[in-house]
Order: sequence, then structure tokens, then C-alpha cells
Amino acid sequence: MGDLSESCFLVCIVLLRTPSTFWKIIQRKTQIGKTVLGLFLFILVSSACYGIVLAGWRSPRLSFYVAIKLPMLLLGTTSMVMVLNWILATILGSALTFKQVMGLTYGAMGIACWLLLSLIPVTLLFTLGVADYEGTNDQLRMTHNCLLLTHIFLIASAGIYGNLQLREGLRQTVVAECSVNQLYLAWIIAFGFVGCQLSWILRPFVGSPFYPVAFLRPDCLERNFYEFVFLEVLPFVLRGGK
Amino acid sequence: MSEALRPPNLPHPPSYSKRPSLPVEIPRAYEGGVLSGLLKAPLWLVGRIDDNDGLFRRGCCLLCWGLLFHALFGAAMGLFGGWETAVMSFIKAPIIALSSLGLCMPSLYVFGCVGGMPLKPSQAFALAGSLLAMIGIILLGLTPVTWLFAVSTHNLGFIVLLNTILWLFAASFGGRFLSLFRHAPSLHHTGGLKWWLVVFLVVSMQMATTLRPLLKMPSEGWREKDKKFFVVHFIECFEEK
Repeated sequence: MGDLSESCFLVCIVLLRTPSTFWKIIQRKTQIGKTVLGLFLFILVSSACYGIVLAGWRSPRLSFYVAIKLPMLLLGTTSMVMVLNWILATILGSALTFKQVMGLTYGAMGIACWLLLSLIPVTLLFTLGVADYEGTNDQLRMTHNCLLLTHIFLIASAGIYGNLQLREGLRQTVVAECSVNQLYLAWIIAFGFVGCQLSWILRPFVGSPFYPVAFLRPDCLERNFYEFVFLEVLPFVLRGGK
Repeated sequence: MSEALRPPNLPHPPSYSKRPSLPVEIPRAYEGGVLSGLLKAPLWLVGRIDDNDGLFRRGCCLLCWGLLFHALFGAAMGLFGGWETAVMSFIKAPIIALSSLGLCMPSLYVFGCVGGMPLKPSQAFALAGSLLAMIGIILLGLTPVTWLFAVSTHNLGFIVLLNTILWLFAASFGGRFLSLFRHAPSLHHTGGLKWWLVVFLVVSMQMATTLRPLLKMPSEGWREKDKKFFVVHFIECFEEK
């Protein structure tokens, strides 16, 4: 147990301080199983910590729920696209094994989680300095929207930056004949497509003041993210907010 | 076209955009103090941070200078609301700068490392101190400008806009200092620092909103009690007469 936790810790430190060494470990296919296990635990703990702060303004109960749901979202999305990623990598002639694909995708998510972990003090400032849980409906709506915007900015920064590192990882691990850009684009599209829907199902994360605190919304499986965007948000924007 | 009228083939002009940059030599020694080094020979300071040389002492020194300069700028800005406000802003401005930097220290370290800049915590500290001092030096130069406008106008929206622009101008010099690390032998990947600077600017603006007001005295105590998002507060400043 001691050895395992030590190796998990080492993997996370290598990923942070020398990502190129981490990609070399994946390329050489040495101890990928232990590496993925270490990353899995790291993503679980770090995203749970961020989740606690993320929903802190609404209620401690929602904080607890989001501490469970955010790891579910990140690990769930990564795991769901894994087989597709491996198939795409094989079709595009990357010569990556399934274990290597696991190492690469968990590695990119691990980097994003390092960034999220480092942004916890910033998130805390916004949670404590912006969110006043008293006021008129308009003020509460404004507070909720501002917080939502801030969290989208912070999480998107971490996600984009983590995925930029994935491109570097692919460059170091795939064979020369494979187009890194094509493979990278295909993986990002798959990840974004699944991630948006899973985040829709697992909502609320920030917690609207106009809905009761719940682990999942009662209508979580009734519609999908894209239906909402194309049938509600876009027509609303195109009609000028009417 | 006849051969006589055909213009002669001219040699291709040099392509400046693709011209390889000359290797920059980082000076090993500098006669003056650390603050003067930051201003006149920033590459020397970049080299010292890269070399892990006297980081704590230099970082502390630069941090103190940076805070003092922020305080002076704050006082000049606060004169908009009178002497009492100037004293309050003299204290608040360095607190805003220091707490923003403190909150962003973990992300500086992580963004740097993930971007391929294997910083040590002591290097991150010295880098943060240098950044604050660089922003502070520019703010010091801009202090007479902000003082002139603070004592000669009553338009709150204008003063808010002016000070925001001046601060962003100073922060751009901080960004320029960070980009000099591209010449450092081991810490030359600066991509992560550019992303981090955006986070630092957003946090600074929110911190200034949390510790508001800076341009007039609060109704009670030393700050307004209600919580606000910095964009909302910024818009409200323009609506206020």
C-alpha cells in the first residue's frame, strides 16, 4: 500500500514538473497500469476538492454533492471516450496500444486537475467575495450568472491548457506517419461532445438560487444539452433576448 | 513585353519576420541594486532567478519596493475623495496587490511547471516579487498623472476608467518582463506564464472590488459590506453621478 501511494505521488509530480518525462513513460510502455491508477486517484481527489469550493456559495449539502459529481464528470467523460479514442488512434495509424491511450487521456486530465487544484484559492475568492445569498430575485440571478461565468472561465482555462499538453504528448508518442493534428482534433471533439451531455445530466454544479438543492435535477434525463442550446438558447439570442 | 522593357530581376528582400533572433547574452554581474537591475538590466535579474541565486533576499526586497510603489499610487488615486481617502487607499492598494499575488502563487507555480518551466517554489516567489516590483515601478512613474486628474475632476466614471487603463498599462510591462524569461537557459518556456497573467489580472480586479471603495470613504467601517462581481461594480461606477 505504501509503495502504491508513493508511486501514485511520484507519477503526479512527474506529470507536473516534467511532462515530457511523463509522455516518455507512456511511449516506452513501462508501468502504464500503475501510472493510470495513480492518475485516477489524483483526478478523483483534486476534482473533489475543487467541487467543494465550486458549490460553496449555495449550501454545504450542494458542496458535498458536487464533490462527488465533479470527479464523476471528469472520470466518466474520460472513461466513456476511451474506446472511441483507441479506435480512432488505430484507424489513423498511430500504433498506440489501449493502455497508452489510457495513459495519454488520463495524463491530459491530470494536468487539467493540477491547474484546477492551483486555482482553488482564486475560486474561493470569487465564492466568498461575489456570492451574496441575500437580495432581490434580479440580484440573485445576477450573482448566480456571474459565478457561473467565472467558473466556466476557470474550468475552461484548465481544460484547454490540459488538452494543449495532450497534443504535445501525442507528438511524442505516435509514429511519424500518423497525423497528430487529425487525431488530436478527433479526440477533442469526442471529449467535448460527451462531456457537455454528461455535465447536463449531472447538473446542478453552481446551484441556481431558484431551485431546491438536489443531487440531480428531476428532469435530468428528459432532454439533452444540444436540444437545450439549439431549441432554447439560440432562438432566444437570435430574437434579441425576447 | 520586349526584352528591353522587362524589369531586371531584383534580389528578394530579406524576410524580417523569419529572421532568426540573435542569441541574447545574460549579464552575470550588475553593479547597482536589485531594483535598479530590474529597471535597467532586467535580463540580469532573469539570469539570477534562473540560476537560483539569492532568491529569497532579492524576492523580499523587490516585493517590499513593489508594495511601497503601489501604496504611493493608491494615495495619489485616493486624493480624488480627499486626504482621508488618500490615507485609506495608501493602505488598501498594497493589500490588494499582495493578497492577489498570494492567491495566485499556487497557480503561478503550476501554470509555469505545466507549461514546461520547471520552477522551484523559491524561483516562483522571486518571479512574483519581480513582477509586482515591475508593475509598481511603472505605477510610480504614473503617480503624478493620476494625482493631476484626481484633484482636477469630479467625474467618478472617468477616474475609474483612467486608473484601470493606467494599471493595465503597468501590468503590460509586467507581462513584458515575464516574456524576457524566453532567454533564460532553463526557464525559457513562458507559455504558461501568459495564461497565468490573465488569471492574476482577473483576481486583482475582483480583489479591488472586494476591498472597495478606493476613491471615496465607505458609509461605515473601512470597506463596503455587500458582495459584488467586479464587472457589475465597474458598470455601476459609470452609472453613479
